[in-house]
Amino acid sequence: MKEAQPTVFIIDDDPSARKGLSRLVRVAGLAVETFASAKAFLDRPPGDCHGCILLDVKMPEKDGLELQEELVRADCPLPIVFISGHADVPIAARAMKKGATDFLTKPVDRDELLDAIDHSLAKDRENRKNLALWKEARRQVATLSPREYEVMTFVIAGLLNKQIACAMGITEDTVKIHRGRVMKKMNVVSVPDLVRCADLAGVAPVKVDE
Amino acid sequence: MEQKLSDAELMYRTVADFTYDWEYWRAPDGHMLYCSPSCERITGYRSSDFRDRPELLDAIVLPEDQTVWEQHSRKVGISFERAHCQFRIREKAGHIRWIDHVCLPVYDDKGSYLGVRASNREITKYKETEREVREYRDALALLDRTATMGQLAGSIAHELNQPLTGILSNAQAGEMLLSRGDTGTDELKEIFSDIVSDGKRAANVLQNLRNLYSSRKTEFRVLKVHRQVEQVLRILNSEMVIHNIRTSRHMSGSRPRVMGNEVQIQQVLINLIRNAMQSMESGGIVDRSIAIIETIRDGREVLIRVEDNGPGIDPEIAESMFEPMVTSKPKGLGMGLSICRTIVQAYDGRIWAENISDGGARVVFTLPVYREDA
Repeated sequence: MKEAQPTVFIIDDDPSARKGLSRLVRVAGLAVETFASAKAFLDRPPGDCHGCILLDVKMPEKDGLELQEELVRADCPLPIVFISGHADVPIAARAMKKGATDFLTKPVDRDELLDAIDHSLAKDRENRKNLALWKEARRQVATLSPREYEVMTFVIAGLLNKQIACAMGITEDTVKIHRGRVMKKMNVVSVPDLVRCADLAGVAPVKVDE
Repeated sequence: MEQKLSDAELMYRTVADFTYDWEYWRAPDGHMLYCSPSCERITGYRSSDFRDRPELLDAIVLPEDQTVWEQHSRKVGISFERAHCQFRIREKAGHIRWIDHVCLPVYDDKGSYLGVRASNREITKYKETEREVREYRDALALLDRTATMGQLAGSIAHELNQPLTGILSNAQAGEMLLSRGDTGTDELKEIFSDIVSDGKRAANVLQNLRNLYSSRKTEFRVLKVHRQVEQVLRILNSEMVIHNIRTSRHMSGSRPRVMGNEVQIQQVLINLIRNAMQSMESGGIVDRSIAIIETIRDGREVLIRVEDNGPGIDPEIAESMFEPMVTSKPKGLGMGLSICRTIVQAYDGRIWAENISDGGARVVFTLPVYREDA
């Protein structure tokens, strides 16, 4: 899969900090976009966001924590590195609980900053890969016929063809045919792979009474 | 006739002897003409002791309070008026007692001076309470000042952090460029120019701080009120930004001056503005603003009003809010306004608070206008 160059989005109301941080990240070889407020970032046309966010905590109007919550609600996949004027433990704890990858304090040292950004970009790649897999699995599931879908829910519950045939009131041969099509359409060769793929797509196995 | 005299004597004797406070009449030469038996309760000595030893009274006054006592005694001798003083004595068993002493000079029909008639009340308990309250109050005032300093330190740290972040990031970016030999561009030039302006910004923060707490400014000087307001707003600027508060100033055109200590006057302003900030915070007000308004009354008084659009003053504490340890804040010490009042009153000013009819609170304090001729 071809990926665009990642961007570090820097959101900080202070011009000195914003300018310095963006220069450092840019000189380190990464693309940078800067914003003077949470609102300016939210007003940006969404496009294909890819990279991570470097976010100041204390800002007038909407602060960093509020923006984080809003982004989490909106399913924005960009990892967030907080960068705060002072190390406030409760605030840091809150930010990390909401999924921030790091919480740095100003003034921040280059290595610490670039490490946190590297880590976030790796997480972003991972997120993206999982997202792509999820999308693919959903797409594959959507190609199944209702019957094939039903057979799949039995297969991933660990039932044998004979049991499935009995449960669905069809012949074992018909089950075999459906099963073959499921494996093909889901692009898997083994049952464990099918289980993983179905799980990724959010398909639940049939509940089997013991 | 004789019977009548002894009846009268009995009556006066009874009236005099059955007093709770210690009463005496002392002749100009220091002799005790009368001393009520209640002196024993207070001093441990009997009334006969005072009558037999005229010097006893002066002797039991503590050495530290001798000056007060002597000055008082001299004054009574030459005036025709009631006189009052407080001093400590060492009673017979060695304990120290506080005495509240009121006396009148005695004259006969012909106007001859017949000595002093005095009432002494023991006020040791009252004095001790007063001292305890004062000590407690001093301790709390210190605590509050430390808390205020803590808040200020936080705000200064925030103000310094920004330019420091700029300087460090720029310098490290420059290092990276240099180590790569990437020196051909204008980037390095820009880096240096940014470092210089961030450095100046940091120096400015420190300069403002120095202006506020430098030791040479503990003295009393003639101060322009509007300058004090400007400085305080500069100091509180980052807090205002963080709390999303708009501020406005409406200063009198005649630039009134007052005599005072810069740190104390700024402390009053800081306390009042912080209170306004915190009340709006806790009141959940979205559109927050604080106005500082200066007016002059009769050319003699400067009125400084701090107005907010917060939830206003809780009527329950409106009466007592300037008393120490009264607060509406969950974590407040209740010292801020009390300190304000102490400072303002020390300048012969007044301070009060009221709710604004359209909402919000207003605290007003006055300071006497300084005039060269006054």
